[in-house]
Amino acid sequence: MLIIDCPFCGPRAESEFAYGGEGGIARPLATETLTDEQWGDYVFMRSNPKGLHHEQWRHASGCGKWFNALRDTLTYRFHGTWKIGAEPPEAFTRRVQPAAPVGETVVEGLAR
Amino acid sequence: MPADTLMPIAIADLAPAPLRVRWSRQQAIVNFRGDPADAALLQALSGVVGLPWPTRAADCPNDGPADAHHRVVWAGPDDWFVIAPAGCQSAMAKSLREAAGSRHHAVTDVSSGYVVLGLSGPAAAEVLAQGCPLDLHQRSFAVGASAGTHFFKASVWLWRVQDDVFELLVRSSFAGYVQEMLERCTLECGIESD
Amino acid sequence: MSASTSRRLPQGGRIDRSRHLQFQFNGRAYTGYEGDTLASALLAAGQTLVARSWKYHRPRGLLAAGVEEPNALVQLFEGERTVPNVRMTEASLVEGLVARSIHASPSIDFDLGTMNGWFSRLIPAGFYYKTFMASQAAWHFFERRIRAVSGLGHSPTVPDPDRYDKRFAHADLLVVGAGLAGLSAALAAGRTGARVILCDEQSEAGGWLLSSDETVDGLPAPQWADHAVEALRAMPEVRVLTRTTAFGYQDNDLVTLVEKRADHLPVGHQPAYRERLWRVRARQVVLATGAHERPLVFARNDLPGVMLASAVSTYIRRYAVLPGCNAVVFTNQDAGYDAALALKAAGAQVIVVDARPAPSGSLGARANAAGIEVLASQVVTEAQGSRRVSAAVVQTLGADGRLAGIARTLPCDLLAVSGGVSAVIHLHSQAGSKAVWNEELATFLPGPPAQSERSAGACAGARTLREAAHAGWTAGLAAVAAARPGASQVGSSASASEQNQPPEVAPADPGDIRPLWLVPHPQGPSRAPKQFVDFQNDVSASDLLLAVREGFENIEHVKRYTAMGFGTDQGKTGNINGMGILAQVLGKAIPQVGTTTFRPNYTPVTFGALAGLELGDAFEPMRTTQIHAWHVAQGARFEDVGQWKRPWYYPRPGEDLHAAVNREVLAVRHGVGTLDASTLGKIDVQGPDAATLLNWVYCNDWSKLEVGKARYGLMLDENGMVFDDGVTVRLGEHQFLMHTTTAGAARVLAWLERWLQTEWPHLKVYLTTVTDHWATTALAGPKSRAVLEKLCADVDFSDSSFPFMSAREGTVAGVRARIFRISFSGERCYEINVPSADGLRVWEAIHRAGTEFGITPYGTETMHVLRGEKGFIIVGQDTDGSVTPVDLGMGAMVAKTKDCLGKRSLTRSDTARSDRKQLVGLLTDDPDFVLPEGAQVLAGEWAQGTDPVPMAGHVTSSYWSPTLGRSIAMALIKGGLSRMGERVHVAMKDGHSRTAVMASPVFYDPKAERQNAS
Repeated sequence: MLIIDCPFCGPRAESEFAYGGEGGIARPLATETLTDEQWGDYVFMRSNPKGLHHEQWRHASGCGKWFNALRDTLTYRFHGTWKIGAEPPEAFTRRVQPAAPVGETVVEGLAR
Repeated sequence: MPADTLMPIAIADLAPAPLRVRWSRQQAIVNFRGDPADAALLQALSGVVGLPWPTRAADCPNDGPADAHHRVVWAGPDDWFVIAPAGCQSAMAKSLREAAGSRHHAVTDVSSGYVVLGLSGPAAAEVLAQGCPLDLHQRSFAVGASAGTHFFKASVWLWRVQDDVFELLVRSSFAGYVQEMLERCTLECGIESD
Repeated sequence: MSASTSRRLPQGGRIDRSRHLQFQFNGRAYTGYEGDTLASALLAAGQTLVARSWKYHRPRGLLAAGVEEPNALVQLFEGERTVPNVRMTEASLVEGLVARSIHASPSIDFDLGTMNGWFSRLIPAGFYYKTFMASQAAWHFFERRIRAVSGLGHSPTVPDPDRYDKRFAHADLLVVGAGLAGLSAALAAGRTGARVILCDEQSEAGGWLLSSDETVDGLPAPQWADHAVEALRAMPEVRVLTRTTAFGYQDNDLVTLVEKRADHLPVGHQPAYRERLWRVRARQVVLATGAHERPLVFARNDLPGVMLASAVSTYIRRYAVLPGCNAVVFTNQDAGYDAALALKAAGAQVIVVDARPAPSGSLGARANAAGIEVLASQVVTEAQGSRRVSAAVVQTLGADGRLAGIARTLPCDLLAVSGGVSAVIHLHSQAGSKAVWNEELATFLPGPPAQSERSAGACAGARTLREAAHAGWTAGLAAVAAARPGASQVGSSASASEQNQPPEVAPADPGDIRPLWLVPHPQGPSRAPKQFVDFQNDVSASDLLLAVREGFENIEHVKRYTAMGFGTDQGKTGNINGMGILAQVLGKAIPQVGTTTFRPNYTPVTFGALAGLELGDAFEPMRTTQIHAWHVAQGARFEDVGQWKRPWYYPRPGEDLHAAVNREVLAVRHGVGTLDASTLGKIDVQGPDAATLLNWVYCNDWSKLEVGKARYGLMLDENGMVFDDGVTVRLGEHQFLMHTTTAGAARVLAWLERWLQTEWPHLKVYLTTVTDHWATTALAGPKSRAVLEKLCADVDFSDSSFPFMSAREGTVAGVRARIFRISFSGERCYEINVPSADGLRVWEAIHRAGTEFGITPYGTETMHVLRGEKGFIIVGQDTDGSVTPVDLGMGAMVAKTKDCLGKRSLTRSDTARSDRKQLVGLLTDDPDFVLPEGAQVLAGEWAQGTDPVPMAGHVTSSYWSPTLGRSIAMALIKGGLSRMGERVHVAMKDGHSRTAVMASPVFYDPKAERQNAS
């Protein structure tokens, strides 16, 4: 069982948390203008990296807040957690960026 | 002489007194949602309950034993439970609304949605440790500390009132489950209901 | 066993000679003492043959005295409390204990499986696989015969009556192993006031100290251990757990321990929990897990009477049992001399056969001084004897590793062997750390730690007690410093009487070791009698050589080919010898052959301990409404819906499900019924942007809903698939009450919070769960208004004033209530919501008021039939995560004027296909036949021999409709919405099919007039 550092409550047991998939995927605006391919990229395509992975977690049995996490999919190790909208930890910028999905260049998301 | 064959640790380790369990079903419980960065709001809220208004997980201000007094439970950065004497939920909700004024907020009476569970006795922390992953040692979870966590598979809010007195906020529909788990957990120390 | 063969020494040992314990082994009665293990008691009784081996059913004796014992597995206790595969070296003797050998049929003295041994040349490694799996038919033939003679022990066949519990525990420091290193670490840390947990798998703390004749702090080693434990138990922040095995080192320094609390105590004196599983989260971990002595690999080294030298010392000094009177000690290191000294001191004859040119350390010197005969540069090439060792064949081993000179035979009844020690690095390896081969000690030692663990003592290469004491002490202090940086004194200060320096042990020279992986035999390894490497799995040196000949070079492959290191033993005594032999044959260094990665569990853990208290009714939380007790009193049968217990139906005497449901349905259609709808998820949505949020999360439009009105909504995921539904009521300009499905409440709240928190933090909306706060009585049927009017005077119930899909506040039976006029049955219905503390009172008042109308409580089954007749969907039954509103025929609900989650997906090329599975009603041609739910709908006609048969969809809901007097069903069928009136074939599991016609799923009251009927 992992220890996860809730940005609001501090380090807690994994059993208090719920995983919420890849983080940082902004919902596109003006969805009606998107091609099927662009919309499909947003809905279905995830990076699935070997290594550092930007994730969303929720402190479900706790403060109920969603937050960002950077976790290594190889070692399970968390390299940091941060509130939605806050500055990510330094390791975040070092992670290997997944190849940009097809739609990403034209899809503007709301700021996180 | 092997010490434990004559005086088995298992037996010697038994808690000296049963766990005392008290379910308080009548308390007024009001949920308040609002902006934690609004200092004036927090001050006004604090005035309503006559206690400091907590802004982090660790604190659970209370003014004494249950029933007649108040608690404010930090449930999230913008989320609190005010626990007050039975019957005063409407008045409490009204006062909290007035304190918030025209600010964006939400006040919800959830008195029937939760039950306050009191656990006391020297076995209390060990019993909780059977289903709760928090470190409940005094050095980590002192009197006044509070946390949202789980007891077995029930999400609860937990705070420490005294060294060996804890209170939990349990969703009403989980009360039977929590009682069942308490009974299963106390086969050695025993359990007494108030 | 007669007294004359007793091998119990007249004095000494840590047994209580005043307490005799009776026990049974393989049906024979024995007596032992308190403090014995089953192994020591049997050995004392002269029972040398204690087991049969797994594959060849060879006679086996005790090899070890502890957890590393590979042979002596027993089925412990009988009946419901039986435990398979217990090492008798770990089973504390207890009055009335009953144990049986596994692998022996019918008995260990006469074992039919021995014939496997006679044919052993025919069944080498890989034999089973190659022979029996050669063809399916061959395997079917052999399988039953193999199963009959293999396997490890028996599972109990009846439920376990015992309770097992689990605890979370937290500490600054967890010390695993309470030998000298572990005790020193715990003492060093404990005296700083740090929170320490010390655990040890044995019945008492002390480890090797209990078998040692050295002194610590001037005290005999066992006595020092007792004092140390006493001192630790006196420290309030230190917890000492014996009989507690650390079996897993998990992520983030979570170490899982299992404490055996009951089996060593007589019935009647056992604690309530038989075993306890500790989940210890420590800031730092000291691994002081010790080392296991390795046997030497020579011909017939598995004969009973061949025993590890360390075990010989332990049986003599700790249990006062002399395993043999005429002993040969065969060693390649100084440690073996300890057994020779113990034997000599106990009065046995002893000769040491040392593979080295001369003993080189302190123990060897002591043996010399004691006048023990040493045959240097010699080895035992073969043990002789039939059911126990009677002689050792000894020959000179040259410096070149070849045999020289003439073999001689030494008669003996005990052959103690010492082939070096293997550090117990299992937990270190489980933590993710990589072990490093140490040439000098010929063992793998811990490498750099991957987590917050540090190894100390024998498991880290310490070879003397003095080294272990210092290493443990240092590790304890370092761990505290790391656990609490900056805090020199964590809590209470140490008292003057407490130890403030490492335990004092006299210096000793451990000497050297001559690595000896396979003792040569004159006949060569493939023709020599079996030279066992892994005793538990009957893997011999020739099996390893065969594996190499067949091309296996990596240890992981060889392991799987030969089964070396499998089973409950996990290669504790055999793995390194096996790797050494492999390396020797391949001409590689041992690290090149590989190192086995250890995974949890170190030793087997019972399912009881893993399950803990969360069993049976408490496996999942059982959520109940505040009206639950009433349902129980009425004899309701219950159904699980998510975590909730909901009344399923209320049978009257003599009624089955169908009779009860038919009655309940007709009562609602013609009179009035009540459903406890408290379980529906309820979320209070408050704030100026509440309607905006609803517009985002529901596919229909909410902006124009008037205050006091209700609307049904469909919630889609981003793929456009329906994932929840329910009625939402506008309570105020900025306040809505959202209903979710019973099972979907938590998921919906998490979903809404996720969007609010991550994507739309600018929306001013707060969500509060109020599911448990409100008790909801759905009062349904044409007479519902009449009942309610008797209880509520402050609401105008006329249809013009309080129409369908609206909400009012009023006082029902004296309680302030929210009344929603919404209906899932199609009948006139009022959902009465009161705070759940008043729920039962109001429910009962409604029933009293309804008595004159024949008010009938109904359960979820009736609710399903009622809604089925109306064609209302149930999310999760008629949908499965792949169904859009369009597929449900509800496409018109999707608002054109706004975006919402999932909307864009509805026009994706795939989602917009016209041949998707769509929801239709099905009317069977035989109106009396109720289709099974889940039945497949065929794409065409049933044609014999069409394989595979193309499918067009499946039945999602199917009922007998008492209202219509016929069966009804709903189904998802490809292109169904445009195929109304077509006949389809529905496959039955008996191979036949039934015909049905596709129709509107609204089978009853298509004009929706019933909702105003009274």
